Amino acid sequence: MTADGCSGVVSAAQHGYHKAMQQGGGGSNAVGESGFGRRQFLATSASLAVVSGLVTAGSPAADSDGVSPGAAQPLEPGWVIRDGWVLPVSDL
Amino acid sequence: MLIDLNAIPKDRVYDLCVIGGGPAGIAVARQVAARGKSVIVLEAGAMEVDERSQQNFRGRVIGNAFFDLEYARIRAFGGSTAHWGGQGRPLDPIDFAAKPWVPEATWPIDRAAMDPYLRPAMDFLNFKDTYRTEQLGDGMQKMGFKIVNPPPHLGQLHIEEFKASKAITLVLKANLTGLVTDGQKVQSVEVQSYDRERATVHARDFVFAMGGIENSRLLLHFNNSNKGQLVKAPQALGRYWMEHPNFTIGEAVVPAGTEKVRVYGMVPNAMRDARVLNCGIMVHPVPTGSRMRTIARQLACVAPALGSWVYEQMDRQLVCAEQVRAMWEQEPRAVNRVALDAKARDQFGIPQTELHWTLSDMDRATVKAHALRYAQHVARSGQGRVKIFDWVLNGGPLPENDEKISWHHMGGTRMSRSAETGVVDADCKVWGQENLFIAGSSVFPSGGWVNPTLSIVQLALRLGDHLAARPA
Repeated sequence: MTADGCSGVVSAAQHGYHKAMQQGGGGSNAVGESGFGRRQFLATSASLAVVSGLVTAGSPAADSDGVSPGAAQPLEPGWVIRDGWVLPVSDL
Repeated sequence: MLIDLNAIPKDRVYDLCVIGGGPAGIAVARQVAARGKSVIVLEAGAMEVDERSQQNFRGRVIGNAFFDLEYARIRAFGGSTAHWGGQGRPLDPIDFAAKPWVPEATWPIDRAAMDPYLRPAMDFLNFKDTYRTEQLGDGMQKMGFKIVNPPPHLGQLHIEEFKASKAITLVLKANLTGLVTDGQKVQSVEVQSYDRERATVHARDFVFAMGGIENSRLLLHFNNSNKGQLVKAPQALGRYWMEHPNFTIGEAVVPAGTEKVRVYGMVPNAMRDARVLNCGIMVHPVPTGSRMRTIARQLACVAPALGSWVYEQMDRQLVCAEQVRAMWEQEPRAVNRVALDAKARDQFGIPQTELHWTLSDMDRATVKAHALRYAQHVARSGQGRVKIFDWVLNGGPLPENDEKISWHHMGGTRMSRSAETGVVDADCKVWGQENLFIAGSSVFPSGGWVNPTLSIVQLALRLGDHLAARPA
């Protein structure tokens, strides 16, 4: 599905989002807790379902999601990773 | 003054024609008009979001998950400041510097060329404080990051000023539909209203300030209509397009009462050693206690020596959980590009955008390196422990239920040292054209990790000074 295929006219929800932001909807608390301020949109707009489905199915580029990171990033001696936790060996 | 499209004088030659009334266009227009020059600003939208205008942003995205292009920016006076978060920080010096491990992530100017415009740009955007960076001593730094509340809507902020101005002529609902160059200079542009009224605008200099996708789309289109005489070496045109990937990358257990929102990143030397690009790690409290208990139990399971401490602190409510997010620099790559859709056109017959955008191995390596360094810093400094999600550590599929990107559209008309490697020179002038300039983040050769609006305005003010000083 393409972006164009997902799109329609600007929805009332999205107008509401624009308006909310114009009126300071991205307030300090909301921004601070929103991770760079975008969750305000995601939380308040019913368009989440529209924008979250935009991977172009079957495109070669979409496969790059599964590519391993390029450079190795070894931990310093004395550190381990357990279930994602980055720990000094003294924690074990 | 504010005039209708059909009132544009047929025989007048303005000193400057600015196409686009977003933050870049408004900033450059005011800077040039303040020197007594005549400026006409052509804005495709109206004062408010309008469906007829917005639908011309439709486009197709090929690659990783992305937001709908129709809604990822605002086509109205004030541009995307109608929906921005009011956040920013200047680009770092390393963002401009040569990086042998990513040769394309280099500017032909250094940060010192931008510095004189920092304070004026902050004033323009209502940012009040200076930016402090605290060195933490283990390859990490804590970075000041500004949030202005409410975020200024620059259209609403400047409309009365533009209406009252004798030097600035503002035309709304004026869609750029034609451009004529003799191969050396742009002669004129044509605009159309939504009612199909047409007007031709003549000016000494022209500035494209239509945004991080439209600058490329329209240059590609008009280069075709001018048989390649607009951007004569088009190898880089539309290419090296970038976003800021933006994801939750982990969780942390830290002492309660820790400062609420903090931003961290690796220092330049650590980035050089790791051969990665720039990144901002933002941490802030998770509001629910249940999540705290879940991740604290996980930590106690994998780190037995911490177990009793974790449970004791948790029972006494002396620890809290934090969400760890990252917004990071994307490697500028030619394959990421704005192209013209071969089939779909906007309502003025101009091909729609076909945006090709993917993440690279370097993009993955950058966030992984910063995350690991941050996690070690937290433990080493006694702040707590950090869990990094598996997709960051091991390169699994990107999470679907996340922000993914930052709505920061950069590149496509990159600044370069030669016509073969970019689209504009260090003065933001299109290579090979004497009087066509580009304003906005489309000229960024690399994007750092920070929200781009502050840098956009710095560059626009710098461009305004350059244009105002050009001989008549």
